[in-house]
This record gives sequence, C-alpha cells and structure tokens, in this order.
Amino acid sequence: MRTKPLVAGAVALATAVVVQLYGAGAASAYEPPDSGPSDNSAHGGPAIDDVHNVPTTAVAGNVTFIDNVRGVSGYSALNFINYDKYGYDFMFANGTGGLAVWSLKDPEHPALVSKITAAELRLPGDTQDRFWEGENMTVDPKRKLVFLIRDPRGFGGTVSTGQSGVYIVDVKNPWKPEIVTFHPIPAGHTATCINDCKYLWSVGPANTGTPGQDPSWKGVPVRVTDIHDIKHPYTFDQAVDLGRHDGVTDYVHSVDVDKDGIAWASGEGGVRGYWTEGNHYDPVQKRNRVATAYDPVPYAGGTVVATNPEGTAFFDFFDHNAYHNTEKVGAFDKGELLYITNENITTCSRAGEFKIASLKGSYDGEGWRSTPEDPFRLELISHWSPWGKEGSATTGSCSAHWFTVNGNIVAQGWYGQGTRFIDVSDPRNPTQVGYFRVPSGQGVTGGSASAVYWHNGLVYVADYSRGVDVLRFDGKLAGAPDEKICWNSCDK
Amino acid sequence: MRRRGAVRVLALGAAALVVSGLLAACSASDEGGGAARLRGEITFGVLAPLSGDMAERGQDLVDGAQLAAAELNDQGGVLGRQVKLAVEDGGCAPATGEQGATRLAAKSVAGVVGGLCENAAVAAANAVAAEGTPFLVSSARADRLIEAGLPSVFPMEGTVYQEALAAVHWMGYRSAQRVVVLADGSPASQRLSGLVTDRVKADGLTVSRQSAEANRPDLAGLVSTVTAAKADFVYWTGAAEPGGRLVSALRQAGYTGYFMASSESDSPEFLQAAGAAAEDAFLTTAAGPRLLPAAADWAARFKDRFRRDPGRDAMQAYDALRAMAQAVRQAADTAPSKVVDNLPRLEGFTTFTGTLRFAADHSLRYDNYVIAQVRGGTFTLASKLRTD
Repeated sequence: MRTKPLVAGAVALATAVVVQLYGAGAASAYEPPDSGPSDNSAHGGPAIDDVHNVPTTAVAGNVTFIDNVRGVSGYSALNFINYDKYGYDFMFANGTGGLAVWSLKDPEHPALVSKITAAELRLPGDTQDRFWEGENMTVDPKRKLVFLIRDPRGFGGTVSTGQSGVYIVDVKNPWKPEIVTFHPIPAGHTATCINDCKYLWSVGPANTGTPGQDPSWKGVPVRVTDIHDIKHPYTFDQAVDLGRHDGVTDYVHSVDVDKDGIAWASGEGGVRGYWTEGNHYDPVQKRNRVATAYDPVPYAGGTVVATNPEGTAFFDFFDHNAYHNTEKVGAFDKGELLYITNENITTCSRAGEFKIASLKGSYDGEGWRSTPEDPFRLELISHWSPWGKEGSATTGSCSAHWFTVNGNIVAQGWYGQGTRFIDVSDPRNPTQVGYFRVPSGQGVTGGSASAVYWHNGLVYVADYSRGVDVLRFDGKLAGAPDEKICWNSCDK
Repeated sequence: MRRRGAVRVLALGAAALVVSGLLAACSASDEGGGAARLRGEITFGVLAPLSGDMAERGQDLVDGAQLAAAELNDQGGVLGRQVKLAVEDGGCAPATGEQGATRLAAKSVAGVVGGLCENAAVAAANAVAAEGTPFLVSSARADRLIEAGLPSVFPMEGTVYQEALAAVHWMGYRSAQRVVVLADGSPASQRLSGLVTDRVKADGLTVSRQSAEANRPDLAGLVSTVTAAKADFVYWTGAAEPGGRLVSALRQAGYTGYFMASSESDSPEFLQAAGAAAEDAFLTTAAGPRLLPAAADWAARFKDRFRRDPGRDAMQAYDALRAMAQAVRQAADTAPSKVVDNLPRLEGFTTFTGTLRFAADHSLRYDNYVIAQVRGGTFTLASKLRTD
C-alpha cells in the first residue's frame, strides 16, 4: 500500500483558507436571500468563519487529506442534500455542539454557511448546552428537512429522566436553517427516514428507563412517527421490531434502508429487514399483505455467532448498524450478503469488528422465531478489524463504527483507528486497501472517526473530535461504482 | 348557588357582566383565603352564546371558565392578581360574534376565551385580532380560523384534516388492508372522506370511496360496495342516524370487519339506529370529559360547584382559561403582544388530553381527537391517540 505525504492536503488547505476569508468578509453585509444567494462569491453565498485543523501527524495509506472543517463541534454523523436551484450540494453535520451546514459548491473545501448551536436547541428544564448527538443523521432531500434526533442523555439528562425526540429543521434556505418543531418521541438515539421520508423510525437508546417504554423491554425498539405533515407529527403508540433478541424486545440502534427499499433494523440481537411499502409475503403471519411503515412486513435477518473471546453478554450480539448489499458479490447470490458493524468498546485487540453474514436460511421468519433455547443464527462469512494491520494504533478506542459502501469498497470509521477502506470483493477475505488516522500532536486534534461517507468521488469523515475531514481515496475502486450511496437512506 | 343564578340572569338578558371567578361560587375566605393575598385584578373575556338554541352549551362554556378562574385564584391568582371574568354573549351569528368581541376588546381584557358557533367565532376572532388581543377559541371548529391566519387567535379544537389523520392512524393500529370510506352528500362528509381516502391511498393500502345522498342514503348500495371490496375496515363520515342504520345493515349482510364513524355520529341517534350492531364500533371524536379518565376529578369538582355534569364546552373553556393564564405568567405581563408571543410556547402545560402546543399556523400540533368505542351500548375511550 502506498503511504502518501500530506503535501497535497496542505496545499489544498491553503486554498481553503483563502476561500474562507472571502466568505467571512461577505458575511458582514449579508441579507438572507429571498430566492437564492448571490453568485458573486466563491460558494454562491456568504460563508462564516470556520476552523481548519491540519493533521500533520496523520498516518495514511492510499488516502489524500484535502481539508478539515470544524463548524460547531465534533460530529457523529453527516448527510447531504442537493439543491437544484443552486446547482450543488450542502453538507449537514450534527454533534454535541448542534448542527452545522456547509456549502459544497467546492466539494473539496466545504464552506460553513450556517449553524444551530446546542444552546439554541435547549428545551425548558435542560441543564446543559450539549446535544446528544444524532448518529446516523437523516434528511429529507425533497422537502429540504434535517432531523436532529435527541437522545435522552443530551442537555444534562439521563436515560430515565431526559427528554428524547426529534428536532425538525427546515433547510430550504441553507443559510438560514429554521427549527420547525421539537417533537417528543419515546426513542431517540438514531432516526431514519422511511418511505421517502413520509415516516421516521426513531430507535434506542439502550436502557430500561426511557419514559413511555414497556418496563419488560431491555432497550428501546423502533418508534414510528408520521411526518407527512411536519406541522402535525404523530408517533404511533405501538412499536416495531419487538422480540428482536431471541424473543426479547431490546435495543434497536440503527435503521438503514437498502436500494430495494427494505429497512434494516440493527441492534442488540441482530439485524432484521422489513418491507415498509408494497404487497409482500409475510413469513411470520404466513400471508400476503400490504406493508406500511407502521406495520411492516418481515423480510429476513438475524444475528451471527459471537466472535470475540472477550465479549460480553451485551456486546457479543450488538449489531450497531448494517448494510444489505442488494448486488451479487463474488460467488454469493444477489442480495445474499449483509455487512454488519459489531460495536464493542474494549481493548483495541478485542474491539468490535466488521462482519459479513449470509442471509440464506433467514427468509422464512427464522429470525422472528429465535429463542434462547433454540437460537437462530446467520452464517458468518468473515470478520475483520484493523488490529495489527498497517496504520493502526494499539491503544485508545478502536471499535468498528459507521460505514458506507461504494462498489466493493467499505469506508468505515473506527474511532481512534481512524478511517479504513476495506475491499470486500472476496467476502470471505476482507482486505484493507487504505487508511487515514490522526494521532494527537502539537496543534493537531487527534481523530476519533465516527462515520465515513462516500460522496461524489470524495470521502467525508464525521469525526467526534476533529469535525469533518475531507479525504480522497487513491486506491482502486473495486466493483461497480455506486451512483447513489446508501446508509440510513439512499442518496436522492 | 346565588352566584350561579346571577349568571343565568346574564344568559337570559344577554347583558355584559364582569364576574369574579372567585365570587362566582363562594368567597375566597370560604376556600382558603387565597384572594386575601391578591393585589389588583386581571380580567379575561369569555365569549359564548348565552341566548338562543345554543345557550345551554354556552352556559356550560362559561361555567368551565368560572371554575378555572376560581381555581386560579385559590392558587394565588395570576401575577399575584385576582382573576376576573368579563362574560359577553357572542350569539351564533357573525354580527353577534363581532359585537360581543368588540365589547370585550373595549374592556381591555388580557385575553379572550370561548367561541362556540363557527360563524360567530370567526367574526369575533377578526374583531379581537384587530385589537391584537389574544383569543383562545375553545369550542368552534378550527378550519376557518386557521385559514383566517389571525396572529393573536389560537383555536383549541382540531381541524377536519386532523380528524382524517385520527381515522387513518387508527386504521394503522388495526392493521387495515382494504378500506372503504363512505360518505353522505354533505360537503363536510365529502371533505372528510376525501382527506381520509387520499391519506390511506398514500400508504399503499387498497381504498374505495363511495358517496350516498345526504337525506336518503342508499344503504343497500353502500353495503354492496363494502362487500365487493372485501373490506376489512369501513369508515363512515356522514350523519349519525344513517350511520347507525349502515352499521346495522353491514352486520346483517355478514360484514365482520371494523366499522368506524366520524364525530358526526357521536350522538345517541347513532346508537339508537344501530341497536346491537353498534357494539364495538369505533368513532373518531373530539375528547370530552365523559371519555377521559384524566378528567374525572375535575368533573367531580365541576359537579360539586354547579350541581350538574360538565359538558365538552366547559372542559375546553377551563383549559383555555388556564392556558391563557399560563401565557400571562410566562410573559410576566398582560400586554397583548407578550401574551400572544407566549401562547405557542407554553412550558409544561397540559390539558386533559396531553401537552398543549400550537403549530406555526396556530393549529393544534397535537389535536384532541380520540377514538371512542361502543361498549355495552355506550361510548367508551379506546385510545387517546397520544403518546405524551
């Protein structure tokens, strides 16, 4: 693997600073546009000051650092919306500091155009200005809405006393995002748009005390909110994806919609897919019926055997997020493979891994009939971690985390292990083909990569500490490149 | 009792009165002496039809506001001041509504609650809004008030659209697959059935829509529609009596699926016409005290004071006056603009159905439609359709 110096990145950063200075100058005279920003600036509108942290300490292979932007804080997640009227994308990030919005008129050098701080998100009774924290951020690219999912542990709350729910933010004018409403939901770790964002599935966190939760549940499952009309959101009182851990209702951590429209709910006890539209055979009810967001039809899924000899009862089966590959990969059938993050916060040598499982044998409702006495498990095809691989650390937080897939290259965040590019062309033998990790150093904010996004030829990293790093993968893109990238929902 | 008599006189004479909520029942000292600590007064307006066909409901509305005022005073008043009510007859016509509202506005009330008949309420809202006075419209249907877009007016009833949402969400709870929506020829019924049909269709469910004549619905034809569609959920948006006959005809024809009717059927006429076939039928209807367990204690207090059970109008006015008082407290001022600013962001304020919040267009963000079900020949609460 080719290890590159960061010269290209440094040059790019210098350019970015020039751009930012221009934008900052324009900001003082800025009036919110009625129809759109003026075209006489580098980004089609004014930018506001931002911080760029040059990672001179970075270790990288097949990766070029291009830029870093800070916005309001570090981030757990990003998302992107294309604006026809401007002709380019905007990037949205949320984290403890709130929401930040960047113009991607120059995709290599995001220009900060607006923000909503955590202080602006405070609700009556909150004791801290700390948003928690919007992993797997979801957006409605048609209506230009951003959903900030609020974990009860935010703003000084706890899992049993805090207020969970969703802030619905109108970003029709990305220079002036407006909070439409905060809608309380008895779930709030992550959220995903369902059925073209007419519904929201909100999930988590892991706890036993969230108000509104059945005391017999071990974690918060899927709560369904009708958001056809954002002025009048409605959350159903009946939850979805119950009994997910060998018959016990447990923590759903993530929902990710694949290219076929199947919503995959990941969490404690596995990954299970649901049709949310159309007429399908329900293998649990043994009949054909119409699937809806509030009454979805099971498709397939389950969990895999534990692979970590130092695992715990919780982390052994904590499938943090997943990606259903709808294509044929290697010798595996079209749609057979499921890519899974098994999060496990423990020593680096034993931290959570990236796993690949086969869905074969799970299409007849097996994952919904699993019990402790007769557990159903998917076939584990392979598992991978950066431990001992080139560019890796030996200490720190090292678990697998959020990823996106382009062709057969998985780009994944691994906390302190940074960003890893994994070639899964041979699903039985995942292979690292690139990496980018930022140790702390003089003037350098050490990295903690939460989520990595392929986007229009570049790679954007939501980093809990650094903000957003913009990278270029210099390796060969294995497989057919994806026109649209899918994570919680597919690019629109 | 003497004071209640005074209100009756007011109702008959349609004259303006300022009635102390505290004194409406009995003296402050009789109930703990709260008023003794109060300095100054704060007056809220109450607008209700106090004459004509709707006078009984209007009196119910006034009594609800009186109870709220008395309890506010028992709890220390608002901003340390004693709550008083100025009651005006708004009638049910636009002219009387406007006149009543104008009289209240002239008294510089801190806010107005009430409004029952839609035409009168809309006219009153326009008159009140012209002065910038906050107005919580407690009983009139919200649609036209929302459309008017009056900055100081906040309806506390849901819209037709929100009743449609309640129907569609309940269909979701019941896992409906094939829905038939039946209407009579009235514009209100047609509108509701159209809204429901569109939303059910948007969710990908099979839906049929059929309309009958308003006065002489062809029940046999409607039953045929249901049978042909192999429906598992029927929603009737027409009048009560034919709705009752419809569910009876459906059951006689062997229909075993769910039957639900709109709030038009929240009436003894529906039960009487349906007979035994009404059992288990659902209803989308605005929440009232007889359906809400959370309102039981309040209803007992009301009955203790007024020697009768409260109606919906009393409950709505009670909540409206408390909400107005909360907005004044939050504003720490009675300036209309400040009270209006606070109405959309009441902190921790709940009604008997849950948190009270308004959307940007001043419609209820979380409406008060509930699902009732006929059990043992009477309407019971099946679901509040709320998760707060």
